[in-house]
Amino acid sequence: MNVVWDNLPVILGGLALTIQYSIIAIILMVVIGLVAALMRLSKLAPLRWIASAYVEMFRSTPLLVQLFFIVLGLPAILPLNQWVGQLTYPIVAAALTLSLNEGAYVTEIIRAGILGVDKGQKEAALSVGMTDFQTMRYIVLPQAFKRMIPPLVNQAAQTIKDTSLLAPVGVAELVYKGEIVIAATFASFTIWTLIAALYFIIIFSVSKCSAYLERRLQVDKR
Amino acid sequence: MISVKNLHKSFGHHEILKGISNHVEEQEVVVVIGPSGSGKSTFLRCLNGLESLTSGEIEIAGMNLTGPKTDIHKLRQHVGMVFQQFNLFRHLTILENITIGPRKVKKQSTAEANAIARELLAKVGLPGKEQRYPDELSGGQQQRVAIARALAMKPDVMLFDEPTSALDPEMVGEVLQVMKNLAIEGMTMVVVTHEMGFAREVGHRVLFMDEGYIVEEGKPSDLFSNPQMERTKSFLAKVL
Repeated sequence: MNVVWDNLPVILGGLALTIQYSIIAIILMVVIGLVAALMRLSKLAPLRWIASAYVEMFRSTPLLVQLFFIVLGLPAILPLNQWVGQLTYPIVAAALTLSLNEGAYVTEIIRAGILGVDKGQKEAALSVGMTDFQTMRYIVLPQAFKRMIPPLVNQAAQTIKDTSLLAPVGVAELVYKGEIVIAATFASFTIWTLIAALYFIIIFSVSKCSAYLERRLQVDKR
Repeated sequence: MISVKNLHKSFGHHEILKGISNHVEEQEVVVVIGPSGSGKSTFLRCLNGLESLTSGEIEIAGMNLTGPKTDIHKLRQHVGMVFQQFNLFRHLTILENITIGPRKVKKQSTAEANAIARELLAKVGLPGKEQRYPDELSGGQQQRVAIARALAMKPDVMLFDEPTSALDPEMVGEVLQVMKNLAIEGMTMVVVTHEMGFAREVGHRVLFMDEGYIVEEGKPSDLFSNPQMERTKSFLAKVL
């Protein structure tokens, strides 16, 4: 147990970064997903093509490869490090890549949610004179959102777990710090158990919170 | 109030409306009858632009629906619509259902919109239901709220798309009564319905549609008791 206590500050430092990256990625993936979903449903064909290309690209390649490509590959041909900052670029690029990857899945979740709202709701909104934007904002999205909660929570859990893939590109999150501790102590069983437990605690609490949120919404607004 | 010239509408290669022309006067109540698939709902939905026309011209509430510069959203503020499936906004209370149009589209204050909504709820016989949700109401009650929602925009014309077809028989009467009151107040109305009693009692003019044409039209008393066309006769023989 001493191994745990002695190295707890290091591990918790990694955990803090895992949580920060998770929060940023979850917020960004919803924003990106919403924009891309609306683009995929747009009347304008070019917007649909761009959004579809984005979704297919990020869904059809592994996240780890995307991270290596954007964080380490791109600076080899473009002076991104100099533009953004030698230390800032990897941090920003890693967060952005993770968000874009998860956003591709969120796009499909939100699109399915919007399409799942009865067509009559949209027609009724239009018939009182609402614009397409007002119809989406006040009538369709609020109803779509409720049915999107369970798959979005799934995706949020996936995102938290996927932050572990940031370790190989140099983000000092939980797994990265764990490996450092293990290299110094050889306590792989203890440390990996600790790390698994920490992930479990975060994700389990997130899903409990959202179950509560979902119940609240069901009671107030049917 | 409404003028339709040579309206054609196709879905793909299938032509639903094959040249409809008609004219509805202010305060007139026109009832559209006909077998299912005759194009009567499509005709009604063309009148507020929920379906785009393939060709033809429509003027409604003083605006040209087919003009290139027409603001369709502005036009729809003047044309109320009631649907077969009610289509109340399921995530909003009854009060919000009625006020959301005036508040968001006409930028009415919440207080003003609420006051109008309460008046309208009383008018359709549903005072006290403000804080309920649509799913807590019966079909007949929901349809009366839907009528109040359309009226809250102070429309010049009301379109009814089979407003009683989805209702249990015992609820049909309460909805028809609200519509009858509206007609008496002088609302211009176009009603697609299978309720021949309503057509006869409230309608000023009846259009009989079949296979994308207006086959015959006339005063209800004439058309029901003395139809001229074979198709009208055979249809009426089945439904009366």
